Amino acid sequence: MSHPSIHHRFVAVTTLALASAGALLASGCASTPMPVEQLAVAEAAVQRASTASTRESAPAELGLATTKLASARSAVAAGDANRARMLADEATADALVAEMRAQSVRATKAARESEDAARVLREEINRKTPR
Amino acid sequence: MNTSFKQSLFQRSALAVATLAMLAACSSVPERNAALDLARSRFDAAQAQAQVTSLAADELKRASEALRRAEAAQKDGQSIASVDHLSYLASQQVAVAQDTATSRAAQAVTASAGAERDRMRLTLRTQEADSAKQQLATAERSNERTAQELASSQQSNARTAQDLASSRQSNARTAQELAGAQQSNAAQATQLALAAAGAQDDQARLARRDAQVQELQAQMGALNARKTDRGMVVTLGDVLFSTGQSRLQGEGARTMDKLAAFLRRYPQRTAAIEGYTDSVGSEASNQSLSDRRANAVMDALVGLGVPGNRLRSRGFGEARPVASNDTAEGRQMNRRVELVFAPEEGDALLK
Repeated sequence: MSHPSIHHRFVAVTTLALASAGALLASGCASTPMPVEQLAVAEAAVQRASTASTRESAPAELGLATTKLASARSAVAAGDANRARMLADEATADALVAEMRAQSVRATKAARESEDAARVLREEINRKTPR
Repeated sequence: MNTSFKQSLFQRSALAVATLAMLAACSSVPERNAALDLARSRFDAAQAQAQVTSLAADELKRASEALRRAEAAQKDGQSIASVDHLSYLASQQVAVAQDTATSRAAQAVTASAGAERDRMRLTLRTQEADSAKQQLATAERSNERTAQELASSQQSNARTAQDLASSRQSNARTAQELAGAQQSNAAQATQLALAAAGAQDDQARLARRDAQVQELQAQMGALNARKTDRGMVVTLGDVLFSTGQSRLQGEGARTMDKLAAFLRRYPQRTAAIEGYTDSVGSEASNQSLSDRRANAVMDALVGLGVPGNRLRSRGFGEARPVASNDTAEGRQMNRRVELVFAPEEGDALLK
């Protein structure tokens, strides 16, 4: 169950986000520039984390990321660039936390099942061995 | 989750504090930040876990860097909101490091459990193989025994077959003997039947002979025959002839018919015709007379159909008188012709 390092993932998400970032930049901004790039990264991170598996294994964490992304969008709409940037970054972090929490839950469950299976097999062998 | 919810609450209150701080506009240096303290304590806890330091070293390093940025922001006197924000990011990075460590540990457990399962499966398969080998060996031994039993059984069968064959030969011999015995029985039966038939024939013959004897007796009786040592003798008396003549008179002719019928009825019989006279007259004339009278009887019988070769005639003259010639009655009895029938089988039965 190898997964790309978190650093690589950030790079990938960033690259992916640049296109939509350009569109937002075109709209322009007067004083403080809107955190277009951070928002795009957050969008991508939340979308990536929004899998059935994560919804099942880490629903609270995913809900927090989704909520925070919505807040970031609201901040953008309200023209609060600073707050929008922070919320977007946090949404990205939350999405990663949700993803990693779900992965952890799944891996733990798999380990438990694997150990159970090994125990069953060991018992089977012990049952067969005595003669 | 509970922790996240607390974080969320904390974050909102932190934002409110940050807003107030912004309004204060850097007038005072903030002493402490609760969010930063929380992030630091979480990082310390994670760093104390060997699992996290060994399995999520990179993630922990990134959390450390995030924490350093938050501390730097605090030190630089940046806004509370900014410090809170960076502290939050650091806390989340610690959480990522911990979850990553947990995942990898769990993956290691899964992998080792899988390896153990493989090992145990191998053990199990080895056991099964050994067991199968033992079973095979047992089965082979059993097969050997079965083969031996089969062989001995076949030998026994062969012996039985030999016994059967000899028994069949014996049976065949017995059957032959039986057939022979049956043939012999049949032959005996045939002989018995023949013997029985012969016995019946004999009985029939005896019955027939008895009947013949009875008939003969009856005929002889009718002819007034008498049994003598020479055979049955029928005497034709003097009265049948005229005195000194050889011609038969009426009564004599009927007697001749009976004699001829008798001789025809018994064609194998022969008869001697003997003529006798009394002592009156010369001996030569008496001889001649007896010859003529005997011939006359023979001629009469031949004339009645009796073959001449079965008859002999002879005159005896005065010889063999049956009574005294001194009286007339005696002399009459001596003048006679006798027919002597040669004795035959069965005549002994005649009375």
